[in-house]
Amino acid sequence: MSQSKYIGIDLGTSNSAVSVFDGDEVKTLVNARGEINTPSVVRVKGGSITVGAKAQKHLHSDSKNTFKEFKRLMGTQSQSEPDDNGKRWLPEELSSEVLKALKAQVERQENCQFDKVVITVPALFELPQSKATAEAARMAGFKQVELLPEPVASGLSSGWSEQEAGAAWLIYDLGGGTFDVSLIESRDGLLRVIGHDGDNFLGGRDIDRTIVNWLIEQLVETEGLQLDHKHSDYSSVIRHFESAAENAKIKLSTLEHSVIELEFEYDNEDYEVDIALTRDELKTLCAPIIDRSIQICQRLLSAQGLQLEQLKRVVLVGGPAHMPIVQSAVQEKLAPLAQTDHDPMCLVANGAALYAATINLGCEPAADTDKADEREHQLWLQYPSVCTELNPTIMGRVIDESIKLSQVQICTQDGSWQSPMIPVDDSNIFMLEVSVKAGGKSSFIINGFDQNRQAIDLAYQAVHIVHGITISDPPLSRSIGLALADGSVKTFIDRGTPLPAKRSFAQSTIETLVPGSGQKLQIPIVQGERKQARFCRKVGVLVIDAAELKAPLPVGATIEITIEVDRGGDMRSQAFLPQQNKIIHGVAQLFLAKPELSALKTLSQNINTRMSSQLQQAFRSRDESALGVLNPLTQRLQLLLPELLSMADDVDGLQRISRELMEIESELELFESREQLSELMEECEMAYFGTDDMVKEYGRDTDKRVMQSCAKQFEQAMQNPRQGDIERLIERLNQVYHSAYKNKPEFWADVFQRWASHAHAARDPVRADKLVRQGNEAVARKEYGRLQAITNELYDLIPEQQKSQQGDNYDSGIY
Amino acid sequence: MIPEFTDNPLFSAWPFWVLELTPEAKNSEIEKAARDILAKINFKVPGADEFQTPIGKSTRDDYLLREAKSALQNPKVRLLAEFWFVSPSDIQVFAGAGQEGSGNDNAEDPYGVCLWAE
Repeated sequence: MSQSKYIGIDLGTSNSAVSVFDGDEVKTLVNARGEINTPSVVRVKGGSITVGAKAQKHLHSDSKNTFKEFKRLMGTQSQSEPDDNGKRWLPEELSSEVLKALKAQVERQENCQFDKVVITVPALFELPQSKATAEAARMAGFKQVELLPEPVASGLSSGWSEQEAGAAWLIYDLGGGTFDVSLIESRDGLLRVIGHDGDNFLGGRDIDRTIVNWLIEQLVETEGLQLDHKHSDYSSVIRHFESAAENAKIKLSTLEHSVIELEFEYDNEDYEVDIALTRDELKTLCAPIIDRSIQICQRLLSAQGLQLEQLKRVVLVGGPAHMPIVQSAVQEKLAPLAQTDHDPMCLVANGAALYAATINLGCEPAADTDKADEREHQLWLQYPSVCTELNPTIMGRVIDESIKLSQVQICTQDGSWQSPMIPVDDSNIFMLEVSVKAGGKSSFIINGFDQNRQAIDLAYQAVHIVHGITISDPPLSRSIGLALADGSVKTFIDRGTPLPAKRSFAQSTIETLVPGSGQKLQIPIVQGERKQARFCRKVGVLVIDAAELKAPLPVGATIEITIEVDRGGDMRSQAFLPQQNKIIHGVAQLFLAKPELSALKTLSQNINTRMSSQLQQAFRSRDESALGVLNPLTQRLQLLLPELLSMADDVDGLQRISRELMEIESELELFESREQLSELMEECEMAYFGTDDMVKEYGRDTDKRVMQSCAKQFEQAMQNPRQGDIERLIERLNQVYHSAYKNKPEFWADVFQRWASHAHAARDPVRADKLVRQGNEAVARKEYGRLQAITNELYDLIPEQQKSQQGDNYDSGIY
Repeated sequence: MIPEFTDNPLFSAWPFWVLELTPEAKNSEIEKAARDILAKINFKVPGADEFQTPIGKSTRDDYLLREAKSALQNPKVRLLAEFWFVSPSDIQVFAGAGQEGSGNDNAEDPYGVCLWAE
């Protein structure tokens, strides 16, 4: 029998790697150069394409035909400058070349055709970026693609053999171009992602660029050279500087001093300049970048209500994360580093391969000596490749109708255990719970028998079950919603929802669509957590073309929109028009809009003005807490302003600045609306204490446990108030309040009074009147059991219309 | 349509009903239940795509199974499901039952939703 193999690919900004899990062990493959990392660099020369170190060598000498860091532009529809053949490359096309190279490598080494794969992506990749990654995989020849957030993969990989249960770890993943951080815990055999955060535009490349900018400043001072790093004439020189900066950064991981040797041409003159850089200088240069990453970690901990002391350890992932200056900052400001024997450069790819096994995404080797595998499978088997229980079920169905299978017997391959005879039912199905070895792999064989108990030679897939840690379905990193006409967001799929997910909602149109008019109804798709659309990222648009309508669609017409997001980052959508009984498929188009430089400049000036005004007020009133919020925001804005003024047509830079401005504006707006927040906090406080009293007196055990959970949320909400969180908490407190309240003896008296006030509308007024009198007597005598029966009968007499009006009027308090 | 477990109190206990489990279920039992039911649905075992709720039978598919499993594996959401859990077999009458589509409105009104006949 053949054994499935599972592959996972870490498709990185700078480097990529591929790992294989065979059910026993996971290993990262080495490439032809004996290295596990293949540089994510593609060179196009004539009709041939090279990938990896060979291509990387030509980054400076043939920059026109050599491409790198294209992952940062995934989903942006931004094309490269034309190569020598005049072709402009999309980022997903270049990524597919890297994936093709890795696919060929793993197929060669493992003697297996792989058409299913798990590819890792940054945790905060937006839908268009995820979709572009899945598209790249399909272009590379993979038929089934699942995406996994990089930190989850690292967590799975480092937690695979861990015994520590219930501890929270932080996965700090500083890659070449992106920063991801995830909070995970392992409990009861399940690795769960508690939350994640990150920045799609923060990575080791930013450290390189910081060093390059510093080099340019040094050259101004020492040589008087004015190198404009945005000017295309100097692109080759700048690439040389970036490469030198990266080498210096790596050297300074082990040495205290480094000398950067620069050889370049400037104004037709050759220069050879050596510039010394120390680790301390590098630390100063990188401080804003590292501080930003630490702030994101602290924000994640705060959002999850965790104190630093509760954080057990930090797992570092990615090359830049292992710089001594990053390690010391993480240890100083977060928690001790994990003592792991895993190679940090393999964690992500290994985790992806392990995940492939947990979701049964395996491929079988092409060649096998066992003849049974050369036949078509006669059984369709369902069992877990990886499971947390010791008694998984093997379920099977006979798919070859030519065999008359009556019973089966399942045995371990080593002969240590065999099941009793299991009957195959009328639907040709059998099932049995088997025992597996704790923490190891168990292999099973299936013996088939006909009704005369004669053995039947069966062909079926190999059955290997690994007992180990599993992982919850990867959660959606940012909520997906539609921007409505009033500027608000209608959330379709909430952050944290396991993927794949599907939701339907009905919305109404605000304009008439007439067939033949050429009109198109456009509804922006956004990702983010804010209720106002402008603070969320636009990731696409739903388009309903008037040409597809049977008849005019009037204002206020209902449209039922269904959105489905799979784990491959793909989104399917449809709009159903009930009035016309028509379904329009594929109405969602995903893309990341390119931010306009002029719009960003205007936005930054606007934020600057508002911030200055708030700062003045805070200074005047000597409001220290306000200054505590505003000063860090001002610093973040001040870092952006000069960069924005010198920014040219750099798509990557514009995306990064656009996101940062959006975050700053969002936090500023939250600050500006703090008075409203303060009222909401007061309301929450009242609800909390009222509910706490009610639960203490009348709550059941579950009420008390929910109240404990609410108490934690309340504490967090008071420390780190967020409007949405507080609103949700108030709603929850009200539910708990009423759950406890119904245990109060007088509860039925209140419910009775409520429905008694509607007795005038009862279908049988005479009977209702009598029930009201009996109810009042029961109240007076405190006969609550009798009162409950009376109330139920009275309730049945009240017309549905009256009941529904009652529901609507609940908030007004008028009975 | 998939219920929103966290926001709709009436539906908060759905994950237990979908997976035919009780609040005592451990994680390994949750995973096993989700996987076994899905396998039965894939094999088209009669009745595998249905589950019992206090207000009658409902249908389940791989999305709902996955979502139910995920809800019960998230301690906060699970606690809510436990909070609202009522064994489908324990329910005889639900005051207001039969008003299809009105469950959501009643759920807004805890007095109404708590009118379980006992």
